[in-house]
Amino acid sequence: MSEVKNTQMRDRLLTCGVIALLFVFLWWACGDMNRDLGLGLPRAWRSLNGYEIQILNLVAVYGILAISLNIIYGFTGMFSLGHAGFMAIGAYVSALCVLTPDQKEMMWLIEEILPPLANLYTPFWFSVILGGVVATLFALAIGIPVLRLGGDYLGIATLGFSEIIRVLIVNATSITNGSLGIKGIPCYTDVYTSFIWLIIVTFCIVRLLNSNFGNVLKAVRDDEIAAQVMGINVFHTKLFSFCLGAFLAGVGGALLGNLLTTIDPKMFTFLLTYNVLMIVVAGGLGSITGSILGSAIITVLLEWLRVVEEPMDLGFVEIPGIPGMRMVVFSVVLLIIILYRREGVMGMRKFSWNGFFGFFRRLGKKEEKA
Amino acid sequence: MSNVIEVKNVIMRFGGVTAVDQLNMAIPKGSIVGLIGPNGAGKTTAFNVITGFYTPTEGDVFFNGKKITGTPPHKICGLGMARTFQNIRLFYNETALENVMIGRHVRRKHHWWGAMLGFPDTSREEKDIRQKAEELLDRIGLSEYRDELASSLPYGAQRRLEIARALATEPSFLLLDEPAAGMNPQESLELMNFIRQIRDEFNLTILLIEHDMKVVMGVCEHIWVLEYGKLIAEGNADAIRSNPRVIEAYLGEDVNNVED
Repeated sequence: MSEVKNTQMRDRLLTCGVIALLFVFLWWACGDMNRDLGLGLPRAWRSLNGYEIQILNLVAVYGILAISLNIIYGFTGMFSLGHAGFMAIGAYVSALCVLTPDQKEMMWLIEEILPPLANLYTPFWFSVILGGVVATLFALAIGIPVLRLGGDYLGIATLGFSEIIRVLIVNATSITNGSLGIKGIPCYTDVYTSFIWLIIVTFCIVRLLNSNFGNVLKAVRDDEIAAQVMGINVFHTKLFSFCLGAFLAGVGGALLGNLLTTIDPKMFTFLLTYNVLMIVVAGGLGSITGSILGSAIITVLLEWLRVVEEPMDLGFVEIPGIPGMRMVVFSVVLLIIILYRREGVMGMRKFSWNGFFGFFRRLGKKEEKA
Repeated sequence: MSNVIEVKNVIMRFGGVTAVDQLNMAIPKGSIVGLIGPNGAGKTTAFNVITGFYTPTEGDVFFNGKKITGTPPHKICGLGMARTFQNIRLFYNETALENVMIGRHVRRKHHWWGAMLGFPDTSREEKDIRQKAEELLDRIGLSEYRDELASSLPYGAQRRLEIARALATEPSFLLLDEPAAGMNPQESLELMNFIRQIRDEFNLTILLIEHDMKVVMGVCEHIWVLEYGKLIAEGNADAIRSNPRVIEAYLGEDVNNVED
């Protein structure tokens, strides 16, 4: 028994250590470390540049979004393609909350903004949660009729929902400023904020999924009829998972909006859903660790692959820059993943420290043999 | 002795087909009873009516004196009824322990936000669920498979795990749909003892569908026989064995009668 407690203690300490290391890294990456400690490091060592920091931010935000889709698709087995819709709701609600009344007066050119919204002003953290809550309400409204569908039909219905949201945003000019979009959103999402959100979300979701409720979600995914016989209200469980996913999508959307400082309806097309879906599938359906790893790998890879779009000189042949080439390379990588490792990077496994050490022990043994 | 289940004049029609026709059953508390009949006789349909998957076209089902016609399956489970399936339906991506833990879900009192935020009450309940599930695996004799995926278990163990999972919901009435399917004579014998043992240990009433006559005759105190949805006989094992209509249903009509 004490051994179990000891391992638990060790795991907790290790997790805290890793989180602390992450924040030290972020501290350095922003260049704050150099300034706060007055280290006077050479310029190249001081920090990451703005572009790289933006990628770090995106990793965290996409991590939240991937977790939210993984709850719906990976853990409960509902093929939902409505993610861009929920993100749009979150982003717009949050933007309306954090813009100052002066900015709103200047920006709404076609039609004046609705009076109660004009003077709305809330702190950033509240606006993010409010974005999530409003997305959840929409998920409830759409989920009650639509979740009775299964499989591909659900995918089509939710895809339709996300398009409806986009069209609504274009046309509800007095609330959303229509297709002009919203500009000049204060950039509240710095690396600390986005990673703190990611850690809070991961912590809560991992706790939930490790409890028996996680098992219940998976039971609904594996066999609905057997789940009913076990006394599980399948419809409620599905609705719960759908709403939880929508809430996190709203939160992710709000963070994304505040990160990019500009949002417009064209941003929230199916392509955004597809990006998140790609991360979830590549990382592993039903693995939170996979979602976070996937978001890191894919976001970084997408940026890093920009190299192939530049003009290249191979000595014997000169290739002019081909815009869009990275998407081709990327698609090939995805094809390879689907062909040779269908369950994604992590499969359904989750990260544990025991597994982590076990992996290195096995690796060591292999090397000894070789 | 009161009846756990009363089925009164149940008729179940699918379009023009009458799968169950005027079924009447009364199952006394604490007994092990059987429902037999040739293939397609409507046994599984009768099961589905009792467990709430189908609402009967006519007639009613009473569970402990309470009318449960039209109640959804998950609520019926909450009232204390559990079942297994003809073709095993485990949660195959979960371990044996997790399968049993899922069965405990229906008896839990605390909500999901407690689990998410780690409230002490919920954590205690969580531990309790795990402990009870482990105990149950022990009692059923499956603790060696505790952390194995349900899909990797041997066939007999899967059958027993399905029963363990059903027992985890704390039922007072258990329905077993062909528990001996695909078992050899030795395993069937063990199964008979197992069924009697869980009846005594968990204070159950058990209704089973079975094709293996040795099991049915050996373990059931009362047997109903269905053919084409109609009840053609009922009684104890001896009465059923010597009933001419039952023999006819299983073996066909007497050759002499055909010639007449």
